[in-house]
Amino acid sequence: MEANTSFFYGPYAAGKIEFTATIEPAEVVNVFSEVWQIRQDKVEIIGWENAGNYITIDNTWTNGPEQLWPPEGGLPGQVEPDGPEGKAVDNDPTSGVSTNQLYALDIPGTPYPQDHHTYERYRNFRTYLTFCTDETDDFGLWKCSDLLNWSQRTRIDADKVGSKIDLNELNLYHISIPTTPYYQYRP
Amino acid sequence: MNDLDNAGDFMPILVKTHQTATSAYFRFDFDDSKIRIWKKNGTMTRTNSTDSIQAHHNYSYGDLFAEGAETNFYIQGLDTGQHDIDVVYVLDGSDLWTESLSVTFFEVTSVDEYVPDTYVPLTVNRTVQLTNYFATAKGMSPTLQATIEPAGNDSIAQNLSWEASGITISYPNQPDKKLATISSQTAQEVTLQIKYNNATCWEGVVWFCWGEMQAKMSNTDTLSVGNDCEVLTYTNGVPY
Repeated sequence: MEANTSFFYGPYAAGKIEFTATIEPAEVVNVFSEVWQIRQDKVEIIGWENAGNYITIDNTWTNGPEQLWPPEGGLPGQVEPDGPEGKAVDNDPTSGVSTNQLYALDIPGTPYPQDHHTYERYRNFRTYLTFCTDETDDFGLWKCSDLLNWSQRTRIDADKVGSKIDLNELNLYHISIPTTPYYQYRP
Repeated sequence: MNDLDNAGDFMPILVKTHQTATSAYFRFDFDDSKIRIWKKNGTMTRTNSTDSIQAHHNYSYGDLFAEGAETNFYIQGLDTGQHDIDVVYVLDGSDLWTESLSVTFFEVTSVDEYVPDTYVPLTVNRTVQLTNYFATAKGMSPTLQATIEPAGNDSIAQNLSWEASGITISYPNQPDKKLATISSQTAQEVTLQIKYNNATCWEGVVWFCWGEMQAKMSNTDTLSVGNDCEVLTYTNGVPY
């Protein structure tokens, strides 16, 4: 999707997605241009590095997924705003040539597994427009669009010859989050 | 007030006498710093000098009733509150009859969102070039509150009417209608008015807003030309 050649990415297997929120009625942005924000929730996340995780202090392999969302013990449906925030959002619907549009970029990805053979991640997100009635903080932040559901699946096999990326897929729907890893553990 | 052609709504009062009163005089007693009385209504061209009824001045029958023994005069409020008017029938130099009436002028001085303690505002509002603008999201139901001067007049508060096309309006504190809850299931701009006996007391604009979300994620898509994300100016990597 990118036209800008200076648009680089940190993760090895990266997705690239641009969001646009078009505000109606368009005339409202002539009086209220600073009350809009594109926000994003992480809904469900799970991942395995070499069919387990290495998040222990001594970086040893442990059985079980490396990350989970919502966190264990969290309330059902609990979500938390995630990127794109700050530098990767254009929350001014009047900036540049925008007439009543806001933009956000996200580059979700999965790192190269280094000495750990494989890495896989499965993530569901939702992105939406908000309208803030309290200029001092996020207290009066109200949803002002439908939820745009999207997801990413990535699988990297560093032991393969040639392309190491088995799967790098973005979709505009939520996927069924697996409960077991795709790859087997490799000593 | 000098530009009386644009002075707003006027209240008509009908003054009746009898056709044989041609030798009588008529006097209007009122506080001319609070109200004015005119021979013509607000839609007609008027001038201060010839059409204004002077307080405490004796007018002849011909001055006021040349077109008939029943004549409408028009009251203009210069200040809010209750004001008294005495119309005096003067014959042979004496006040023979006096008819009195009281008129209350009120003003909607402001409209703001009514936000109870611990609640969060549902609107933002701003006044630009004398126009009151409110913005809220489609599907939300903010309650607006009119502030009226003079305060405490139940009759006025109960006879207000909030009007706008294409939205739902309800009164959560009936019979008092200073509070009105508005909502729309459609993204739209509406003109909201507060009326009293069909006279417009306040007017504002409300935007019920909604955003349409779209995503581009194909490798062949190009960024939207309006996208001004700061990271696009970076040359050494982007946080992910």
